[in-house]
Amino acid sequence: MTTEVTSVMKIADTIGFCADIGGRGFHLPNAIAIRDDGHLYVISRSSQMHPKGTRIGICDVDHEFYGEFSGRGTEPGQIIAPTGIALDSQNRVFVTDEQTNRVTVFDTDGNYLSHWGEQGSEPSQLSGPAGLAFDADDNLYISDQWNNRIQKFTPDGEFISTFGEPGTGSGQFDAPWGVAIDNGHIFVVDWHNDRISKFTLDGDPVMSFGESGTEDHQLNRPSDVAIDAEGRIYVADWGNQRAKVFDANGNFLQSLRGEASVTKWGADYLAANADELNARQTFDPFVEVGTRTPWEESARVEGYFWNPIGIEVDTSGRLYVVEAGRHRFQVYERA
Amino acid sequence: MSQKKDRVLVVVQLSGGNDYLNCIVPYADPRYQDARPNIRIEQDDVIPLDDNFGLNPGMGVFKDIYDEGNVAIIHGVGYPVPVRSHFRSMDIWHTANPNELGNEGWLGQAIRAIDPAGDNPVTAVNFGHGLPRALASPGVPVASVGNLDDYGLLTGVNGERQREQALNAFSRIYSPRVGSSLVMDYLGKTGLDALRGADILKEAPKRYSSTIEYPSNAIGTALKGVAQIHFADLGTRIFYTVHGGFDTHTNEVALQKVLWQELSEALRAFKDDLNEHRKSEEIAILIFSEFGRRVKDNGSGTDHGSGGVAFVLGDAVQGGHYSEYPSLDPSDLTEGDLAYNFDFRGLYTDMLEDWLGIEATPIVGGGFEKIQPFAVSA
Amino acid sequence: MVTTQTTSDLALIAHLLRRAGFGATRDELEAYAANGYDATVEGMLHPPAERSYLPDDILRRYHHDFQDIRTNGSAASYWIYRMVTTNAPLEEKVALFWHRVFATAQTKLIQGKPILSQLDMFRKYGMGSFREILIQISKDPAMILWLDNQDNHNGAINENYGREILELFSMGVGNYTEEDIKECSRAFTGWTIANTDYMAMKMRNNTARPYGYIDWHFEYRPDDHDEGEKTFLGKTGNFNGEDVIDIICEQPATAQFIARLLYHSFVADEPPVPQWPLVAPKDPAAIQLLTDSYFESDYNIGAMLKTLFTSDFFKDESAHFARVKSPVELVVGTLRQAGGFDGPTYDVYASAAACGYMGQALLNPPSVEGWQGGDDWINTGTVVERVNFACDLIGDTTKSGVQAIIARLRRDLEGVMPTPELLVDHCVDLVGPMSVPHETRDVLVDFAAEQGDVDLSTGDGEAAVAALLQLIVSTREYQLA
Repeated sequence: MTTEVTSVMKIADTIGFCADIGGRGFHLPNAIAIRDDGHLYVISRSSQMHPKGTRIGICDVDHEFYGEFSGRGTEPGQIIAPTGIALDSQNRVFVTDEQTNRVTVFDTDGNYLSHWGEQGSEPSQLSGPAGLAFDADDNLYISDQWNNRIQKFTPDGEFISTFGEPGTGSGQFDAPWGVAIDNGHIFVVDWHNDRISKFTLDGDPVMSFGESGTEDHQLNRPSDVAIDAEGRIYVADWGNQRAKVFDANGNFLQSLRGEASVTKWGADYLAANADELNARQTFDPFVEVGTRTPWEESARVEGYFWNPIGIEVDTSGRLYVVEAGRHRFQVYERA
Repeated sequence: MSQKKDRVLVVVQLSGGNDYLNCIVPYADPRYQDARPNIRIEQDDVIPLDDNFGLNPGMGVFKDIYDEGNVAIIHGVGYPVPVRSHFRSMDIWHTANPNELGNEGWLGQAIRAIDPAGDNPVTAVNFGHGLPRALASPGVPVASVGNLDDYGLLTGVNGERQREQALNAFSRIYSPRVGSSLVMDYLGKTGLDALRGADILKEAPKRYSSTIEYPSNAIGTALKGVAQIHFADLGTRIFYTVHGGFDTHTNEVALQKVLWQELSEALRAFKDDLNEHRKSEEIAILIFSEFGRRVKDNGSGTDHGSGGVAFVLGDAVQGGHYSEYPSLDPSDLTEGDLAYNFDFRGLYTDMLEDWLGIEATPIVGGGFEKIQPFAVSA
Repeated sequence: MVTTQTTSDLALIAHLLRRAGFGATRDELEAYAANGYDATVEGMLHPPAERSYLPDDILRRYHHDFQDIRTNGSAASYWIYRMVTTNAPLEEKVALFWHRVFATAQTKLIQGKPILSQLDMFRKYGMGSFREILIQISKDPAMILWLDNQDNHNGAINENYGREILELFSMGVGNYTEEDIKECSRAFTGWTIANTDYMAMKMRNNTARPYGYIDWHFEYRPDDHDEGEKTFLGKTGNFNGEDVIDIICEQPATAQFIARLLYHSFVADEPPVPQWPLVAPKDPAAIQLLTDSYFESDYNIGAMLKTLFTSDFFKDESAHFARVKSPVELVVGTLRQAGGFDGPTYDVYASAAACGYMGQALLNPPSVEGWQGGDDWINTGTVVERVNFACDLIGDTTKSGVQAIIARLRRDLEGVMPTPELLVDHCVDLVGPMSVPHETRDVLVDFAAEQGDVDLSTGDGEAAVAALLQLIVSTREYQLA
C-alpha cells in the first residue's frame, strides 16, 4: 500500500505494571477516565482467577500512584465485571458492570455513593451495560450491549430516552461497546459491526465509518473511541491490536502498533531482580516473530499493544491507550 | 510403646510465598532497612520479640500464642538449588524431593504407614477442594472436604427425603455384584468407601459443642472443622489446609498483615477450643510456605525468593528460635535471596519420627538434621 | 438405501461418540445414526472446513483473562469451551490424546498461552502424518522449554528431549541405545526459542512482571547446531532433527508404539507405558492391524483412526463401556449432555477446576509421562467429585439439555402415567443409551417408585425425573465410556 500516512501522534511514555492482587499497577485493565486535574482512573477488570485484582486505581501521567478503590463482589460499591468508566462535571466516578447490570457511583476519592440499574430489556433496564459518557448537561449515555441500544439517563439514574436496535443498518447496532461525546454528538463503537457510528444526542444518525478487515482503514472488533479538540477520532481497534487515528470525517490518518518501554514501576521491579535485569540485556522487545495474526504477534512482542481495549484523550491532546493483555497504558503526544 | 492418645499433625500451607523478612522482621538490622525502602516495617510498627527481631504488625495475636511458650520458629528453611516457581517449589515441599519429579506425597506415604490396609477412610482429612500432592499416594484414601457442614455424596439432590432415598440407592448400586468385572468391583468398593467416609464425617459437627467463636473466614472455618473431627475421635491423624494469598508482588504491607491477622485469630480460636476440650496435647501444627521472597523490594512488594520461615505449634513444643536467621550481608545472599540454612526434610523428619512415630528415611529420601522441637520426644 | 434405526445402531453410534468425541445428546445421536456408522466416522475424521465453536472474540470480550490467557485456570477453561461447543469433536479428542502423549505442564512452563498454541498445533496436524507431528512438536516452544532443549547446545548437549522423543513419543524403551539418545540430541542442537535467556528467566522466576508473560516462538540457530556426522539407529550422516525423525518414523517399533497408544486411548486401557516392554498388548491382532495401517498410509494418524473405528475389535459390544472415563470425558460429556454453553458463562471455571479435582488438571499433567488413566482415575476423593459434578449438572432443570430430555420423555410417554419401570428404562436410554445390569435397574426402579406418581406436566414431575437422572449419572456404569 502506498497510502500517505499522516503522523499525528508519537509515543511519549508507558505506565503500568502487572498487579493481580491490587497495589501499584493494573490487572487486565480495560478502561480509563481522566479527571479535570489530570488524575487518571483506570479500571482493572481482572478475573475469576484473581479475586483481589478487580478494582479501580488512580494515578497520573507522572507515574504517581494514589491508591485504589472498590473490589470484586456484589455488595454495594463492589464490582464483578466493570466495563466502562466516566466522570461527571463534579468529578464523581461512574462505572458500568456488565455482569451485575449496575451503574455504581463513587465520589472522586472512590467512596461509594450509590448504584442503580436492573437487568432486562424494557426501557431503562440494562443488559450488559458497557461504555458510558456524559454530555455537557451531565446526562449519561450508556451503551446497552445486549439490548443493542443507547440509553440516556439523568445522573441519578432516571431514564430519559433510548435509541438504536439490533441490526447492521443505519441506526442499528450489534453489541455496542465504547462511547464518546463531543460537541453535541455521540460516537458509538458498534463492536460486532466493525464500525464507528456518529449520532446526534437525540439519536439521529449522522455518519458511520469502518469496515471489517485488517487493513489500516479497516476495523476488527473495535472496543473504544475518543475525540480530541480538533474533532479527530481515536479508535481502539482491539481485534487488529492497533490504535487508529481518523479525521473528523472518518478518513484514516494513522495506525499505531504500540512502542512500549519499561518505565518507572517496571524499572523498580527490575532493579530488585538483578537476574532478570541481566537476562534482559539480550532481550529484543520488538523481535521479529513468525506470525502475522495480530493477536498472536502481540502475544510475542512485548512492545506492541496486546489487546488495546480502552482509549482516551486529554485536554492537552495526550492520548492514552489501555492494554488489557499487558497491564499498562501507553501515552502518545502530538507528533 | 504406651501412648495414651494417637498424635495428630495439622499442616497449614501458606500459599504464594510468605515474605520471611516482613514476617519475622530483623528490624534493627540496617541492611534490612536499606533493602526495603518502600515496604519496610518500621521499628514502631513491629511487634518485638527481642532486640533484634519482631513480628509483622498483623501477628499481635500470634505473639500472645508465642508468649505461651509453645511456638517454634524455624529460621532459614529451604532446600538446595532453590526454585522460584510456585508450582515446582510447592511440589518439592509436597513430595520431599528437590531432585526429581516425585509423584507420591510425603503425607500420603505417612498415611500408608499409619493405615497400610486403608481401613479408615478418614485417616487423613484435607480441608479444601481436590487433593494436594502432599497427601496423594496410590491407593491411599483421603477425604477432601470443602465444607464440613455440607460434605458428602449426591449433595446436589434436592430435598432431605429425596437425598436420603438417593443415598440409600447409591449404596445398593455400588454393592458387590456377582460376576461383575474387576473395574466394576473396584468402582463399587471405592464408592462405598467414599460413602462410609462421608457418613463418618457428617457425624462430627453433630457431636460438636463449644463456646469458642472462630473467625468467619476460610482458615477459621477450616480449623474449626479440624477441631470438630478431632473431637469426634474418628481416628484422623493428619489434617491439611491451605491459607493462600501470600504472593505479594504488590501491595505487600497491607496484604501480608491481613493474612497474618486472619491466621493468628484462627489459630487462637483453635488453641482455645483444644484447651476447652482438653484435647490439646495430641496436636502439633506445622506451618510452612513454598519459599521466602527476595530481599530487595520492588517498589510496592517483593518477588519470589528462596529461604523462608516455618513454625511448629503445640503443647509438646518447646517454644523459641531454631536454626539461625540467614545473613543479610549481600555477599551471603544467593542470587539476591536469603540463603537457606536448614533443609525442610529435617523438619519433616521431626514430624514423622518424633511426632507421628513413622520411619522418615524412606519418605524424605535420606537422613537429615532435625531441629527437635518436641520437649517430650516420642 | 433406506435403513431403519435400531437400538443397536444407536448404541454403536453412542459408543463411537463417547470414544471419538465427548458423547452426544439423543437428538445428535439420531442425526448421526440416520447417516449411518461409516459416514459418521468419515464425518468425524473430516469435519466441516468451517469449524464452529463459541468464537474467540465473544469469549475474550466477556472473559478478560482470555486476552492474556496466563493462568492455568484461564487456559483450561478456554479449552473446556472448545471441547463443549465444537462441531469437530474428534479434533478435540485427538488434541487431548496428543496432550496425554506429549504431556507438557504448566507447573514448569508457568504461562498458559504456549500450551494453548501447542493444542492449536495438535488440532492442525493431529490427524495427519506422524512425521509432521514429530517435526511440529520438536519445534513447539512449550515442548522445547518443557524438556530443556534450549539448553541443548553444539558441543554441550542436554539429552532430555533426545531421550523422551524416543522413549515416550515414538518407540518406547528397548529399541535404541544410550548412544542413539546422544546422537539424537546432537541432531536437535540449535532448536530453541527466540529471546531464550529472558524467556527462560521469566519462566524460572515464575513472574508475570513487569508487563505480563510474553509468548514464545521457535527459532533455529544454525550457529548452535552440531554439523558433525552422527550415527543414529545404524544410519550415519550429518543429520538434523528432520533426518532423525525420518529414521524414527521408519521403525516398526514406532508403528507398534503409536498403534498401542491409539488402542490405549480409544479402545481399551493398556498397562502404563513404562510396562509396555514387559507386558504384551491385550489384543496383538488389533495392534498389527493398526501397525499395517501406519505403514500403508505413510504414517497417517487419521488413516489409523479410520482403521480403528471401523474395526470389529472397536465395534464389538465387549468394547462398549470397557474404559473408565477420564475426568475430562466425564466433565465435558456431562456438560454437552446438560447444555447451557450457548454463550459465555462463569460456570466454565468450575468445570475446568472439576477436572483437576478429579485428577486430570488440564494442561497440567503430573509429569512427562502424562496421566496413567484407567483405575487410577478412581479413588475415594475422585468418586465424590465425579458423582457430585454430574449430579449437580443433570439435576438442574433450567439447563437446555436437561429440558430436552424431559421434553422427549413427555413426547414418548404422552397420555401415559408412567410406571417406575417405564420411566427408568426411558431415562437410562435417553442419558446413553446406557445399559445397566438388572441389579442396578431394580434399585433405580425402587427409587422411581419412591417418588410416587410422576406427572411430567408438573414441576414435581420434573423434579422427580431430575432426581432419577441424578441417580443414573451416579451409577458405576456412567463412570465408564
